[in-house]
Amino acid sequence: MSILEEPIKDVLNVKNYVDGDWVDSGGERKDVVNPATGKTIATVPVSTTKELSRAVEAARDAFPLWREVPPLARARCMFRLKELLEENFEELSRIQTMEHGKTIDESRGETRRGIENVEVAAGIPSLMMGDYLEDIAAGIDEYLIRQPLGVFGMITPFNFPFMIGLWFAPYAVATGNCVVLKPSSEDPLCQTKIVELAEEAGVPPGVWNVVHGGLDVVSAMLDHPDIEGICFVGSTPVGRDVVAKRCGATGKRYIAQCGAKNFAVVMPDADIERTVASCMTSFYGNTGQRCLANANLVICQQDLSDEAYETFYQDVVDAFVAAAEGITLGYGLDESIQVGPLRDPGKKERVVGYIERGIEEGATLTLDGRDFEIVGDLPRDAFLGPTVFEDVTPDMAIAREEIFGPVASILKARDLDDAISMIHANPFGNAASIFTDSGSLARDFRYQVRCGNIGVNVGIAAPMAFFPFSGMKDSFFGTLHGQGQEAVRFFTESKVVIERWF
Amino acid sequence: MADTVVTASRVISFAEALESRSEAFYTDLAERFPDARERFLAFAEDCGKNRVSLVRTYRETVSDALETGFSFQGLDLADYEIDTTLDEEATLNGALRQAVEMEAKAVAFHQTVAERSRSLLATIAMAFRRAARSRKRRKQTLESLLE
Repeated sequence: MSILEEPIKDVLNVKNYVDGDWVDSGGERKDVVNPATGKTIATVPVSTTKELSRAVEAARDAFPLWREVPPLARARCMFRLKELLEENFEELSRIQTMEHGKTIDESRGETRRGIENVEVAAGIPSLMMGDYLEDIAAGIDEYLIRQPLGVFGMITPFNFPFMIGLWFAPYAVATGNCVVLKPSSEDPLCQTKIVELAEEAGVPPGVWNVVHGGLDVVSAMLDHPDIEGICFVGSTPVGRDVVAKRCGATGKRYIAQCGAKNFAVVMPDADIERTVASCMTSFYGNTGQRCLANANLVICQQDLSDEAYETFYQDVVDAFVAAAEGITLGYGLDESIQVGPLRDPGKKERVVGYIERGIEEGATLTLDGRDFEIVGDLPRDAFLGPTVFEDVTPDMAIAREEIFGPVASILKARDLDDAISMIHANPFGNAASIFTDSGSLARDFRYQVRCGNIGVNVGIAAPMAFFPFSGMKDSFFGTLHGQGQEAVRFFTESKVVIERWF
Repeated sequence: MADTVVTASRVISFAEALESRSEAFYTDLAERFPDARERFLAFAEDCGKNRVSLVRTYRETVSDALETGFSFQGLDLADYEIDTTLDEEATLNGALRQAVEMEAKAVAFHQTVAERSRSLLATIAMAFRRAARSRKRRKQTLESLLE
C-alpha cells in the first residue's frame, strides 16, 4: 500500500474571491470533510445574498474594460493559466481526491479534462471570429460579429469539483465576459485554487469571482438583473423546475445540464472481456457519481437461439460480477485503490435506499455492495461496494431513476430495437453506449438513440473539450451546450451589420 | 503474495522509480569506473529522459473516462523489481553483468506495460514502447562491453 502525500495539512479557511480580493463572509461556515478519512479539511462560508450582489457588481463594473482587451491578450491569460494549472497539476489532483473521494487516477483525469478546456479557450481569437460577405446587394456588405454580453453566473456540482467550472468559465472570460462562480459547498477547494491561479495568470480584478454558499446564493443569481446568463450542472428537478423557469422569467440565457440514467447495450458479437473492463470504469468509476456513468446493462438476444442466449447472458454476467467483486475500495490517495467512497454518508444512505427498493421490487441482488471490505483503517460511513442486480425490468425504480452510486441493473432485451425502446421510455437522455463488433448495428444505435452522447465500444461517452457536452430530454435544458464552439456562441451575442458607404 | 491490483497511477509511479533508481545506479557507476564515466553518465541521462517522458505522457493523456483502474489487472510488479545495490568490491565486469540484468527486467516491464496500456491511449503505449527500445539498445551496448 503506498499512500501519496496529502497536500492539505491544516484545516483551510476558505474565503470568497471578489473584485480581486479574498474576503471573509458574514455568513455561517460549513465543514468540508474528506469522505475517505472523515476528517475536516476546510471550512467554507455560506455567503449572503448581499455578498453575492457585491460580486455581481464587481463583475459588472469590470466588464466594459475587459471586453475592450484584445482577444489575443485575453488568450494569453488563458495560456498562462494553462501553464499554472500544469505546474500545479499534482496538487490540484490530490486536492480533488481529498475533497471528493475519487481515486488519484480519476482526479488526474479530471484535471486533464479541465485543462483541455482552458487550452481550447486559448484559441479564442479564431473561435470568436465572425463572418463577412461582400455585395449582398449593390455596394452593400454584411458581416457578423460576436460580442460578449456581460456577467454570467455559474453553479457547479460536487461530483467533478475541478472540471465542471472549466467547462464554462474559461470560455466566458476569454470571450470578454465576467463571471461569478458558486462551487458546490461540499467540495469547493479546487475552484478556489483555480481562481487563485487565474489571478496569477493576469485575469484582472472583478473578471473571475468566486462566491461560496447555498440555495440563497443560487436563488439570488437566478433573479439578479445584472446577470445575463446561467450555467448550471446538477439535478433535473432543480435544472428543469428552477433554473430553466426562473431564467425564462428573467430573460436569461441558460445551460442546465442535469441528471441521467444511462444504458449500456451489449450485443452478442461484443468482445466480452474488453466490454466488461470498459463497464467497470463506467458503472463504478467515480463511485457511480457521474452523469455519464452507465447504470443499466442491457444484454441483447438479437438473433441468438434461446439456449445460446442463456449461455451468452451468463458469460457476460459472470465476467461482470467477477470484475466488480474484485474491485478494491479505499482512500483514493492509495495508488492500489480502484474506487473511493461516495461524497458523504448521506449520499451512501440514499444509494442504500435504492438497493433496498430494488429488493422490494423483486430484482435479484447478485452482488450486494453493502457487504464490503476497505483497504486501510478508515471509517466505513461513506463507502459502498459495487452492487449488481439481475432480473430488473424497465419499470423498476432502480432501472428508471438516477441512483448516482455504484449500482448496476442488468436487463434483458429481445433485440436492439427492444433495447432502444427501453432507452426511449426512460425520461433521461444524457448518454448511451453500445458494445458490438457490427458497424451496422452501431450505426443504427447511433442514428436512432435520443441521447446527447453516444458511445460505441466506449463505456463513458465523455466529449472532449472541443466538442459540446451534449444531453437530451430530461438531462439537458437550454439550447447551446458547454465546451468548445457552442460555449463560445453561448457567451456571445451574434450581431449582424449591413453596411453601405455613399 | 502477488499484488494483482495495479492502477495506472501505480504503474507510472513504479516506472518513475525504476528510471530514477537506474539513473542513480549509472551515476554511481560513473564515479566508480572513471574509464567508462562518459558512457555511464549518458546512460543515467537517458534514464532521466525516460522518466520525464513517461510521467509527462501519462499526465497529458490521462482522462477520467479511461480504464485506468482496470487495464493492468493481474500485473505483478514484483516480477520487475530491479537490484541497484552495487557491491563494494564489484569489478567493472561484475557491474556490467548487474546492469545487463537490470536492463532485461526494465525492457520486460516497459514492453509488458506498453502492451497492456493499449486500452488507454496510444500515446501511453508509445511512450512505454520508446522506453523499452532505449533500454533494449542499452542492454545490447552493455553486453558488448562484457569481457
